[in-house]
Amino acid sequence: MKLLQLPQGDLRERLAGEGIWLRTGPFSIRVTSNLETVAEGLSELYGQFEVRNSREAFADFHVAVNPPSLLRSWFRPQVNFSFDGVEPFKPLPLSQAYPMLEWGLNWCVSVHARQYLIIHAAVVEKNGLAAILPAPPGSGKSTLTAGLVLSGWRLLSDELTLIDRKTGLIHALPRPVSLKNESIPIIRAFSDEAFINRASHDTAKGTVAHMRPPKSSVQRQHEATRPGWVIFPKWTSGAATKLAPRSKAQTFMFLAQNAFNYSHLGADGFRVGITLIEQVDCYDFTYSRLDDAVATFDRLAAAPARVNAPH
Amino acid sequence: MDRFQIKPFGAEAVVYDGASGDTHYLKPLTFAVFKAFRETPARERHLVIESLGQRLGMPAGSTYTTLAEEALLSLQRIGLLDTQ
Amino acid sequence: MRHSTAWLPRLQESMPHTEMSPPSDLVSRVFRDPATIRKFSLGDWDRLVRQARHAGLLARMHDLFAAQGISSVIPNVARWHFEAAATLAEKQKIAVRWEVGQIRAALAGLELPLIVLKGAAYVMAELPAASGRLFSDIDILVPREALSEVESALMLAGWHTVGLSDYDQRYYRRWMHEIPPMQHVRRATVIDVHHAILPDTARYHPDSAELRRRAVGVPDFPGLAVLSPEDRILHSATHLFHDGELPHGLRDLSDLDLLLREEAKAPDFWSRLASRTEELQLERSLFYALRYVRHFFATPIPEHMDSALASSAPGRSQLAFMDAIFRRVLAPAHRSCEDRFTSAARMAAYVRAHWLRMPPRLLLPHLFHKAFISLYQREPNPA
Repeated sequence: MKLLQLPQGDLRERLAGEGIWLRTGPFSIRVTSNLETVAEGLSELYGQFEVRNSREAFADFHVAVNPPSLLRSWFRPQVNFSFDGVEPFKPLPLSQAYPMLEWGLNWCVSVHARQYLIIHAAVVEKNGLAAILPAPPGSGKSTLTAGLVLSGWRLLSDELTLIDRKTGLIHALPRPVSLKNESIPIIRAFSDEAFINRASHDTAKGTVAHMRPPKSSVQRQHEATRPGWVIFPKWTSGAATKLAPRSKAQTFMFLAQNAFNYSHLGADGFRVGITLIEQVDCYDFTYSRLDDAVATFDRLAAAPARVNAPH
Repeated sequence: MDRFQIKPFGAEAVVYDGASGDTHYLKPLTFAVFKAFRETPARERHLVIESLGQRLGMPAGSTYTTLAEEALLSLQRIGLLDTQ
Repeated sequence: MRHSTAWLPRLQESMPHTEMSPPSDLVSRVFRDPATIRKFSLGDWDRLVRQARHAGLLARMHDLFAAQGISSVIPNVARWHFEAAATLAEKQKIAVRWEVGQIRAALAGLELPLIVLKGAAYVMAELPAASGRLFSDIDILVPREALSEVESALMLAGWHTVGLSDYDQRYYRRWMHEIPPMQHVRRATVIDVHHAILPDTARYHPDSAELRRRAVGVPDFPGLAVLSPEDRILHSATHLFHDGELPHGLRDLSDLDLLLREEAKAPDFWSRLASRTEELQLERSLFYALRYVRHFFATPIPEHMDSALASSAPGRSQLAFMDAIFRRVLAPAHRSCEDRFTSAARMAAYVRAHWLRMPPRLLLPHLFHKAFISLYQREPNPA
């Protein structure tokens, strides 16, 4: 059953009671929350995801998003994320309850799921090959990711690239795409089909909202994909669209340093990273116009033989 | 099993140290110095550097020698080459 | 402290080994009887994974299933949890070996006996107790006279005492048995430097020179030693029953279970342990350690060992009180293993441990400070 098939009242009641069991990519989640905004966020953004009833016995991650039970919460309303009774973060203002769920779920995966080499990067797919987009904050990665998935690319993830250690394939975790600040109006203007939920203001990243993942991306969330490209996007005002080949060795080092769990995997982290880099073309990508960027990516995906990046 | 795993990508390389868990990047000159010393381990150090310089087409007495010596030091520090 | 009344040993002997009902947590049940997993429902597996994770025993459980040849019994949905934990434990073993090598190199110039304790010792000596172990730091034991030299040598090599308030620094230096934890500036690894296994201010005081005298060299690792088998067992026992916070109580108890089972293979082990316990005056700690390791892990312990410790046992009502505390405090720290007395039990264990480590006149101000000032130190924001 899909979440959107749950009557609205039911969703809220279950969420506040025994919790909602959801499947997101390879992981099952049981989430509980008393908060209206969390129920609203799930209802608006997770409609296509599979839910099961409360008798579902096993969940990978048991999480809760609730006000902390401290005295000071009446004075300055707050919210806490809890992973099975453990609170990995300091409380945040109550208005950030929904993003806190998303950040908390990312934490659960990145800290525990060592069956994958997990790279801090967005990843999208077209024509059977995945494009991995690592980028520091402010590079426009999320805007580009949203633009691509609104233009026919499949969303695998906006934050966590999951590389299966045994197969080298990339597994999808197509949860809502996080958008910040200017990205929000840009993406709204880019496509009528974009659904973006109510923004939270004054977070550590500024204004944050989440975009509903495309229905087809969620439907295909169990399809793993071969990696095709590692592309470092950088949005630069007024810049022409440019794709420049990049050193594979240096790309490998960047990924190792920016993976969540490379150092936890020992020699296997090295092996999986090398196998990935051997298979992909590596580029630096500069752009200023989102539609031009999408066109460049479409051309890459359509090329019958991939051009190997010169070393 | 060998302590180091070396993976070349053209003129550059990345290295995994199985003892420490560290991962290193070797830029082209450093990788070239490494290969030169590995090929002829018994030779005098300055001779190896000189002959590499000739093969790479470096003019004698240039900053090349300093850079090559630095590369050798970093390879020794990482543990890829023994200190002599 | 020994009881002088002659009738007491007979009373102790008349008490059954455990008056406690069997532990209700799934983790210790699985260790006592691994084959029980064949009867587990998916709900049991869900609870087992969560309890084991909280207890720090997921990776060790993975190893247990592999050793028993029953890994295929794990349901597919649950399997990755065990394997992911084992992945980290494997990596950490390598990291610990490397780090110990770095420490040895840093202290080489001082020519003093370097003894590594607890988990790091199990890894270096390749003991079964190294199985599935996770590490937050490495504990070393050095002579008290050498303490400041050691601190200097470590600082030279990149370790620094970090992140403590002045109050906590003073606590460490004056009242605890270690200089504050030292963190490496580049690798972020942490060393706890000890000169004794209990603080100066504690009521019971085993002689560190004694422990060092009996230390055992590590093959293939010159310059490094670990405590003798009896001493590492006694250290594990004292650590459990003198440290109040017990964040990994069941894991530490599991270490003790594995240490005991390994050493018990030697026919004279138990008598060696009994005499060493008496020499170091640690009978009370060992009494509790054996009582609770048997309760949770069904460790085979011979009758004569119980008799040897009987005269050091606490009185009946104190024992009942300790049982009430420790069977809760040592259970996995997961809400499914808690009852309405659990938080009181944790508080009591904490207070007791500090009572044992510090004279009363120092205890109250310290507890007050710890509870109300050090409380809100948490991780930075996720975003």
